[in-house]
Amino acid sequence: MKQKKTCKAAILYALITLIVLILISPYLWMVINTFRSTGETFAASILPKRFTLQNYRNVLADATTTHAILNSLFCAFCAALLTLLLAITTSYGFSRFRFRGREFLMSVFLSLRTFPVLLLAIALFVVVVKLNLYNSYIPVILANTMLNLPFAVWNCISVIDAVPFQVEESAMVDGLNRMRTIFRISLPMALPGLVSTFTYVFIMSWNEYLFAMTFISDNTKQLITTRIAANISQFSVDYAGLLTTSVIASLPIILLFVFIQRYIISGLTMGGVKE
Amino acid sequence: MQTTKLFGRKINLGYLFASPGVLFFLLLVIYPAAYVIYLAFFSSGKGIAIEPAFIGFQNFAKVFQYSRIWQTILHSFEYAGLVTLLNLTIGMLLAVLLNKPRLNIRFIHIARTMVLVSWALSPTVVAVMFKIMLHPQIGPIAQLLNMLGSNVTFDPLGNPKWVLLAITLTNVYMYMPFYFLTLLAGIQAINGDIYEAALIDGANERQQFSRITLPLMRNNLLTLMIFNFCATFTYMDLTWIMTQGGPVFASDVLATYTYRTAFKSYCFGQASAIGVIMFLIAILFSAIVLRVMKKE
Repeated sequence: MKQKKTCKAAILYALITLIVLILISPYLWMVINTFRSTGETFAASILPKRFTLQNYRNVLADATTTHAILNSLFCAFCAALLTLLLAITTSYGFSRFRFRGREFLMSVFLSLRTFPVLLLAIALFVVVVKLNLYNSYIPVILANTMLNLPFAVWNCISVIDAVPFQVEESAMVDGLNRMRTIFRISLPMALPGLVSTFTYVFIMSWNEYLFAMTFISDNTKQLITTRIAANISQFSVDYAGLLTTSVIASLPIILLFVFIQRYIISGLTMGGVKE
Repeated sequence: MQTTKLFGRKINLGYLFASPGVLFFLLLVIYPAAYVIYLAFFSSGKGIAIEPAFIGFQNFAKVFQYSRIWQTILHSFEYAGLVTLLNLTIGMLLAVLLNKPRLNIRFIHIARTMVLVSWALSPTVVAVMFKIMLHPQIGPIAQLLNMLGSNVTFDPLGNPKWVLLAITLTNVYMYMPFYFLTLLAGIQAINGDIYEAALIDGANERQQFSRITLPLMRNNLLTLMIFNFCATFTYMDLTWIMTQGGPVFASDVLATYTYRTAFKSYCFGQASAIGVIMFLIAILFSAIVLRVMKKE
């Protein structure tokens, strides 16, 4: 009986390992191939015969790419900051007060978010061009904020719910006014949750493609996602360089994601599948 | 402390806190949503210099005059349907596997994190990665086949027969982790006592899955199914970067058709009409499926 159980566990370990390997192998393949010298083909051997950082040097020497990275950094940071500010105030209202229409307004964030982004992009494009905001980062930042606000609000509600109301109450009884209580007591206690919300929105805005492509066409203003996408459809493609740019644009993001994934699950499960 | 005075009227503080976010969101969703419907009925021709002129259903009628429209709609159904099926099946399978309490907890945690990696990737990175992997000349698979002396041309993205499937699988690679994670959270929310009781009654693992997990996860699965289908039906990023709907429209879906009409032909009224039809199809189909499933 016991032997049968260990055998079964071994099969499970093997099966899970196999599935995980299949899932991460494309990405691993990509990372490994950024270290190959240009002469070698991608299938010459599993590991490159001679490790080289030449691809990274080439990519980072290209000012268009480094600019695109900085542009993306700026947009994603602004979008994450704006989203967090709006999400904190809104979720504080939802979390600490009971008022008529509260449940309805909370559900608005979930239901309206299912409207196709592609359709919003068409309408927003026309508006943006009319307002003379084409080729500027403002519409990109606002659109990313809109996309991520529902998740951020739901996540912050669970984060603020976890800060006991009694703590706030006693602070207010002790004579702090509400704003001071929020800034001195509640927000510091909610900090880990808020930081991971910020990081999640940053990641999603960094990765966003549709709005970045729709609102910006100027080469010097390109974001990293549109830069990569534009390069793949060029006539003669530097494939090794493209893989390297992709790794530069994704590896730090993956590490961030691994770091915060545990903290964002509550918001996802609440906001993602609310019946 | 629950209320404050504003313009001489008593008002719940909650409204004040909630309103910036709510107003921002409504402005950036409701206004464009309404505007897109307006465009579909009121604008014709090219460019954004829109003269408000009611043209009725002309834009909608034009959509169905497009010679490939039925093929495009069919592609959308194939794409979204298969993506949904695979995402939920693989996601559920992984969620059950990685919920095993008696395997090593560290191993489980590492495996879960690894599964989630592709979710943190941008659609551009995923599209570029697979475009190079599946490349007929420089791609590793094609080169391996070549070295083994096979004279099959491995070019799924250039072959009308395989291109839609290739993009479908790429989509699954990218979005399955989300469904895995939500399903896992759902499974973990099931009360452990139920399984213990079942174990005492002698239920084996397969019975536990089909009699407890699956029925209790039914509502989660239905919600995710509708969500995934509608999201994929209107999704264009991966398809656009990988093939732009080609070769010869073999991977063209309603979403890429909408995008092309808007941003390559600059017919925004026409594109809005296609988009609205696309959205209506997705919603109607979901409603029908939901009804049928609920009746069972």
